[in-house]
Amino acid sequence: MTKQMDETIAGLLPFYVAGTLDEGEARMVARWLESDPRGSEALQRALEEQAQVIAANERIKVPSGGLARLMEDVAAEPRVARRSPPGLNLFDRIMGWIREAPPSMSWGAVAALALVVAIQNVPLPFGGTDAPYEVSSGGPVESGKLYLIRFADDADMAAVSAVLSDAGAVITDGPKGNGNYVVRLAEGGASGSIETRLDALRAKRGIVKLVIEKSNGKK
Amino acid sequence: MNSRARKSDDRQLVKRIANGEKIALQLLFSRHHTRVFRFVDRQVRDASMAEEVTNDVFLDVWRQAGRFEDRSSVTTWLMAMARNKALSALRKRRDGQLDEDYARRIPDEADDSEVRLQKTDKADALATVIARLSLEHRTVIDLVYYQEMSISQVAEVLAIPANTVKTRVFHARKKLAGMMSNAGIDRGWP
Repeated sequence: MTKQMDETIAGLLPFYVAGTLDEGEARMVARWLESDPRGSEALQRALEEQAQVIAANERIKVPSGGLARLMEDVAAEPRVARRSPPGLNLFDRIMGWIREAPPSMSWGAVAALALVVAIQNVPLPFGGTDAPYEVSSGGPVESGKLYLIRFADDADMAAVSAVLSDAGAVITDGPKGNGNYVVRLAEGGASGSIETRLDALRAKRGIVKLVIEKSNGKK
Repeated sequence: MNSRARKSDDRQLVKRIANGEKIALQLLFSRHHTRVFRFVDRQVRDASMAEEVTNDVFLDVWRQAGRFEDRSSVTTWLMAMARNKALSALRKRRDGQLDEDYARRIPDEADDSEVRLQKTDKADALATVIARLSLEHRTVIDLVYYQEMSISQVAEVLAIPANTVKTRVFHARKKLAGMMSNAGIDRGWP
């Protein structure tokens, strides 16, 4: 093998192990790995480097409170007139993103997203309409009832988001220390009465482990 | 979520941010702030500074979302901003004091015999020498291995041609091999 080829391969191998090479270059690297007696060790070296770089990054603790600070800074920004987007359905977009997220994504992230919605008091269009919405500055929407819900440990996020969406439920708090989340079920809507939707939630035994009405003091 | 869906969804979020939706900014932050913070922290090696820079990046997203151009991915756009702001923050840092503090914690090349004695584990030695790479080299290595960016994305973030990305990766790895060799560990090549 020429020195030039060695240099080319050394420059491409990290992309190869990360799976980010285009098809042509990936094929070239694969051919080299198969044909060169040093291929196996070269691949191993790149994998070792990748493991160390990932580990070094994941050792970095990300401070909490970044979002709150950002939103304070945004609030302090001078107001700029912006055009309102027509016909947005926020709920569908958020739920769409949650559904498409990797199953391994933590429940904390789901709760965080739901809390973002709850904290911002965005009226959720449960009826699936494309009605415009407003981000208001008032308190949270209080209609509906609160329930404690616990999900199966192995339930994937897509399934849970679908269950919550079908039930017209939104997480407003959690997870608590015992793994429970607080969800609000809105009155009415296209999904039937609260009782009907509770029954539907409880029937999803592979996903939902527990649903009970939240009384004061229950966590 | 596949990458195409994520890209499309990110772009939707940026459009909504441009329209003044704070919720969209919160979602974009929730999705990307970890990768941005770590990318910056690996460059500036100071958590407070990294936090400051990360906040600045997302504040600029809020201010400049209307200027986002669809030809770029949102991730690449964020990382390019993070890179520029990190470099700017490093330039402002007086006397490079913090970097020197960090450097003192990492054995330098003169300590190779010590590294050899102390680092009986090859993985530990590799981690040590990766940390000792120059800013330019460790940044490109991070973008490839941790941020999983393609050659064209790295080129965009670093504002260099694609061929330069490849040669920079090659030189970073060559340097890594040399430092390991100096530490008594021959990893072979390429």
